[in-house]
Amino acid sequence: MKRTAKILAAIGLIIILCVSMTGCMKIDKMRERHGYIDEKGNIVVNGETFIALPYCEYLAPEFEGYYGSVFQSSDYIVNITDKDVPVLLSGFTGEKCHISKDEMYLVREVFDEYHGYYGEQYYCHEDIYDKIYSAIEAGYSPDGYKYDYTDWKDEDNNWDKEYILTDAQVNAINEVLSTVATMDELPFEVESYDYKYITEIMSFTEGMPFERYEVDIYKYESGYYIYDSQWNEDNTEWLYDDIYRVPKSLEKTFDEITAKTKEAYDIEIQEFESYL
Amino acid sequence: MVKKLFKHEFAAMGRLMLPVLCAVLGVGILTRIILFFESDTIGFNIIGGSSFLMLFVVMFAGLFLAMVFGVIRYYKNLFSTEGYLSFTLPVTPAQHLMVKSVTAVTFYIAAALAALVSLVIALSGDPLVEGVKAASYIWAHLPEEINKVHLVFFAIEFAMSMFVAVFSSFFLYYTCITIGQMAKKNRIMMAVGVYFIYYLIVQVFSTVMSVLFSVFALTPLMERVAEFIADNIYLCGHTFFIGMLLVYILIVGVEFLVCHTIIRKKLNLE
Repeated sequence: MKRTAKILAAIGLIIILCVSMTGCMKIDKMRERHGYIDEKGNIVVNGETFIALPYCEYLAPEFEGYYGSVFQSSDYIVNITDKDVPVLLSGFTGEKCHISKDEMYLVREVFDEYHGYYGEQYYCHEDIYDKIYSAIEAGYSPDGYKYDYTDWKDEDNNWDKEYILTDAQVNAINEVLSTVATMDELPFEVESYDYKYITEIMSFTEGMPFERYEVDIYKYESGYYIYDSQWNEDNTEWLYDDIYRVPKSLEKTFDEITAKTKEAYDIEIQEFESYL
Repeated sequence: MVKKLFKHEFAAMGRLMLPVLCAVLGVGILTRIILFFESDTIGFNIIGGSSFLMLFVVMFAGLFLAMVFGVIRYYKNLFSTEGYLSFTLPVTPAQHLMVKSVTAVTFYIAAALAALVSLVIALSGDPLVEGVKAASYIWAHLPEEINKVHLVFFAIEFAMSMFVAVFSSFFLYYTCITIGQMAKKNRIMMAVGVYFIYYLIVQVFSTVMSVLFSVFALTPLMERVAEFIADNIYLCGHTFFIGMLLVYILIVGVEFLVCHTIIRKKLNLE
């Protein structure tokens, strides 16, 4: 009886020992989102190194749940601490930054002394650093134009859908910018949302995290207006502010360009009116 | 004789408490085994959460039962029919009280240790390792103004106070039972009544002290006292903890005397 009890106790202890050697999923997840800054100023997250990219006005990697603040989605928040801080304390000390869904880019809010506000410092994974750095050095060369819209009909995923403009549509915009005389001001107040809807046209580079604001297309009662404002590369100086009225002959093309924005706008108006 | 009394008392309490302690440890082991199958599903989150909830409930239940069994054992062995046998033994009432209280406190501490071991088992592996790392980091990076030696002594003084406080808890119930047994009928109800009277007195005393403190806090003297405490934080801390320890010792002493006197002079067995 004693021998049996001893054997059972030994088996029980071995089971406990084996079971206790296993990890913990929650702590593993915390480790995946815990990083530190090494001697070279690179960010190391779970053994992967991210190198700071130079400032580039058109660098815009996609971050899910990041809208200029790191507190939108905890799945993509990385806690950056000193190297010796244990993972359980990583959420209480250091700073937070955001990692992209493909875990290739990091964005960190750093204080921009020149502008006197917090700006964004982008980092990319060391595997793609050379490629991205070379592309930045080579200068911006867009492959196409697009705009983001909300697709209210897609219940599962309605945010940040993209519409890519066709060549004909791009040509129509360029025709307005090159042939139509500029106006002094818009016939409505932008700040008080007197217009119907706005479509923000961006240029982008295929396969690269580059995009740049180009123009806004406003739909007003009297037609379409293109608003083109530009800042210098460092975003320190406003260069110009041009306004164009789209000719009637091109309004049909602009209806096609802004169709997705109009659809979202119509659904929003319908819902708003149904509440009244 | 006292040694034999201890032996029998431990055996009797052991028969009651060992299954409880095994259950506490068992739930810890079960929780760890459940965590072995950890996954990101809603089902596991419910099961895992429930197992931890059960663990905490069982831990507190173990402590509660240790207290209950200690008190019941005191009543049954000294004031029920068993008392006739107990008081024929060549043991003084003081020795009876000492044996009962020491055994009860020992098993209470055993229940607390079992709860702690159970929690350690449940968290064994990565969570425990990371927890120890986090605690070591916090200790190593305490602000320089905080004197670690004093902190260690605070912990020792606090532990000693809590140890005596456990004795005080048991002796409070012993006192209520001992006073209650003086009644001819409904002795347990009488004991409960004594407890309520004690509770009422404590509440009235606490309220009076709170009112006096509130009044005192409005005086300029309070500011000077606060300044003194801020300037002599360690001295005041040690004074507080040692004072607490002495108060508990005093309470235990008074309760012991009450029980001892009643047992010697007013014993009223069933």
